[in-house]
Amino acid sequence: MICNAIAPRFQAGSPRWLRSIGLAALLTLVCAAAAPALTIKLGTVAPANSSWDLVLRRLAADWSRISDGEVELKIFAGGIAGDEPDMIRKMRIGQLHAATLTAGSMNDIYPGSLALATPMLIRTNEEMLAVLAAVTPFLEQQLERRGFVALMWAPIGWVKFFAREPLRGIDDLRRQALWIGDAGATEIRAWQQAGFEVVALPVTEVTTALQSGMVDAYLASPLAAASFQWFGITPHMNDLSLAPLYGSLVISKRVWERIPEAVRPRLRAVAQAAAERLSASAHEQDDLAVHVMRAHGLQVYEATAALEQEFQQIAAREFQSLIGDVIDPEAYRVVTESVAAYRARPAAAD
Amino acid sequence: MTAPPAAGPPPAAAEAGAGRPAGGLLARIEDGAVTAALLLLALLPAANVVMRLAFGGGLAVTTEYVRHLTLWVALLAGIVTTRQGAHLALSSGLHRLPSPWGDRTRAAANALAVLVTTALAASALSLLLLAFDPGQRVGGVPIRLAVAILPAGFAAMAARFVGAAVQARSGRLAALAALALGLLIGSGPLVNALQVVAPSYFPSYALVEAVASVAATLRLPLVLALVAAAFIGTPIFVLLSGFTLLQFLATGGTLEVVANEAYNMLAQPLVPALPLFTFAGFLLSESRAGERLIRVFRTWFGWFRGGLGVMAVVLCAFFTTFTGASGVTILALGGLLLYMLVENGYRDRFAVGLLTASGSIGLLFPPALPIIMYGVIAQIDIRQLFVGGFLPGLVMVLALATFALLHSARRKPGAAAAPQSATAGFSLRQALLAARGAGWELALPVLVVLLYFGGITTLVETAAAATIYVLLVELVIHRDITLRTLPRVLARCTPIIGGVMVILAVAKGLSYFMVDAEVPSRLVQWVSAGISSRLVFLILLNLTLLAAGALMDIFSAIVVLAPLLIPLGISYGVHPVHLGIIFLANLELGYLTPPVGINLFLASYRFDRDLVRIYRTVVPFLIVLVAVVLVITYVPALTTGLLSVIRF
Repeated sequence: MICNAIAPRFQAGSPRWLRSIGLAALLTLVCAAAAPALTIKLGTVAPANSSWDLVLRRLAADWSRISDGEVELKIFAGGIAGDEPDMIRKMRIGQLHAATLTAGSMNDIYPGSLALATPMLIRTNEEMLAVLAAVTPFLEQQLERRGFVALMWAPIGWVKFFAREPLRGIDDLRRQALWIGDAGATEIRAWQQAGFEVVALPVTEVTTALQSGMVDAYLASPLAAASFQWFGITPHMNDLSLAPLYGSLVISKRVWERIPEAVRPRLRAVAQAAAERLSASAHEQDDLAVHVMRAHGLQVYEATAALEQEFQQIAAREFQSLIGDVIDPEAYRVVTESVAAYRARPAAAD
Repeated sequence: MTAPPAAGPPPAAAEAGAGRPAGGLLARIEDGAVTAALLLLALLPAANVVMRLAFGGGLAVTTEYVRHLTLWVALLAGIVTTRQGAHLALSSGLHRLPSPWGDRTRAAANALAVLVTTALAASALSLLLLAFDPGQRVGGVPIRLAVAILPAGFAAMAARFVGAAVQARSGRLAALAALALGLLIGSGPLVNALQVVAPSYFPSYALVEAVASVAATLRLPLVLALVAAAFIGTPIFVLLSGFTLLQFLATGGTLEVVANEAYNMLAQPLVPALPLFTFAGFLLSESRAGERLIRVFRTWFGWFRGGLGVMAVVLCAFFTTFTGASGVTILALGGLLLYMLVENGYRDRFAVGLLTASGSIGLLFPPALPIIMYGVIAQIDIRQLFVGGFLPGLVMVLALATFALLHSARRKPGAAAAPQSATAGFSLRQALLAARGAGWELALPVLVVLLYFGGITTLVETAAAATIYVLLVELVIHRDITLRTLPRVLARCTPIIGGVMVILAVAKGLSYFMVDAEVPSRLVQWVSAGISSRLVFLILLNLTLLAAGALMDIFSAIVVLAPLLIPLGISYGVHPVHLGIIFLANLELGYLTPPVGINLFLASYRFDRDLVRIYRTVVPFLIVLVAVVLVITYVPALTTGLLSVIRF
């Protein structure tokens, strides 16, 4: 019962009359409302009816069933509860209780969350799934220390290059003004040192910048390129997978602990089942997006071995500056070790 | 709706105070801080453009700096606005009653402002400590320092309101009581903040819960009290945020979210364009640019019969485009234009009506602020809105110009409306001479269009470039404004920036309350269950917006209504750009709708006519404009046609 859950907030020591007023208030406010005991407000930037939204809605039904209607998820989809940094703030002040976050904004909570998305580190879907599974305990521990409980993790495709002009090799890319997100100083410098002309802008300005010619190329997952309709201006894509992306469902620790302890593991279990469904369909989403964009004239260039090698070198030289500045070195170590372990596993393990 | 200052010293005193730089050390520090922040806000993006064009990449953290600098500009300007007693408020005239009643109403309005701003300051303080990671930085500056202006700004406003309240005889007690009540309402955030500062402290929430339960019980009477407070001249931002705080308090929400939404609004990447274009517009209106432009448009349009009326309309549209929704056009050009029109035989009544009405058109052309604002809220590409708004804007200008032409054509030849000797015929030489005189100002729209639509700069960078350009033109080339008079210009535009941005900031809190309560989706369900026809929906949309425009200023109306109406529009298949233009065109009329259209007040003030007379003169023009708005609403092609032709 929620009334029990909140009651401990009344500490001995406050005047008796105040306590009784407060309690009376609580009773009228919460218990008399009869409705669900604990309503968890969950925000996501995933559009309504997208795969994440559908999975979350099913999760809401599962949680309600498991908790006998005691825990209700109220989903604010399509970014109406704010963008990801805003949702983090809203969780911290308690106006929002849970949210789906992607690696970039999780890095604002724990600056090691981006280690998985280090350019050119993780190379395949299988690697991503294995490494993600291996490092989540570490990441979850770090997040919990900062007041958040991560309930599920799932890959959401790969970051690739899109451009106005053909993208056969690295020189094609160096000739075009490249948008690299709302990047910070270190990141911009790293790209510039690698010989690229880069533009850092908030995502809201990108469409305009592409239309007006301020930006010719950008980094994005095929799903993003398709849903923002940017590919109409940039009909060339290189298949090089620069870095994997992932999303996670986090809930504020305070709220999570208000859920009766006995129920929590079962809620977590269905969340993990949901993550598996999302993981299974993650690359399908990207494939579908590429398929659709191809039908509308997208030209896809093969990621040649030479290009792959050139970016490996850039990653080794220039992107190392991100470790320590943008990414917590410890998280980077944990991730690289787990990549190495996965690659060194006996072949029979497959 | 806005009108002269309610809380605080009476308008005349504020005027005088604005004029002289003195007014205490603190005041000078505040003014200096606004000036510095505003100039920096123009310089940073401009420097970024230069860097990008020269080296590629640009200054890495400019957007982050600019976003937080805008927060400072808004709050600092808000403090100055409070000092000048110039926050936008409904005016019923009650506060101007003779003593003791006028005194008491002012004290009451100020006390309410003390209460609400104190609670806002508490919420912002808690937000600062809870939501912003101490380790997070804005390009080297700790983010908590960058955001510290939010609680500090609201606290300073509260202090200024206390100062204003105690001036009234009965005000001292009221101010103290309000301060205590404000702290009580803010007790939730304060307890939260205390917990961050002293983690070992384990607080009692009894008081907090008690306050919430009182708010929940008294919700309706308190809302009614706030509505009543509107009529004693309480600043609009106080009413909006008071209402929002009450709603969150009564529904078990957290008050910090109101401060958080203020941060969200002010730190949006496109918002810096608002203070910048306002500043540029004021520089124009305070210089002699108006006179130079009048010369130009007179030589171009003044030589044929009725041409002078056309000239007035076109000039007002031109000027409004750059000065935005501040109603500055009437103040800057009204006097001179009225003189010219009447001298040339226009009836006084017609001329006053024409100028009052023309002061609001031009809002659909780039870079008018309401369009930018709408694009920010609706997340629509602003260039598309500008392209979509071009023809509807043109039709509005043409409609008024035609009306002016017909009016003078109806009169007998030889009557006073005939061309005068001064403008006896078109003279190419005169036209070119005049154009050369105002060449720098005429080049401004060209510059904006080239930079922005040509893809050289972003919207904010365009605004910064325009500001610096106007500064150079008026300060260095024409020398209409000197370094000595610049503070006076700033003192005049600060309350507009502060007043509008503070309203925007707190109105965002209200729209988040509606999101939280799922009002938009319920509204869509409810309306679409009752109305199946798009036509009926559009009629209701027109009525709603006209009513809103009559009651609210355009910025508040956009922030509060757009999130509600956009999902509805989409569900009825209205093109998002078309919806935006309908929205703005309707609200534009709000400037002229009695009883509270801002242009009516400004016209009454500028032309020295009583308000009821202004109402009467404006009615025929209002009818013409309503007709145009209906055309814009029911002929979507007017908006979307150009969109399908011009593709970027």
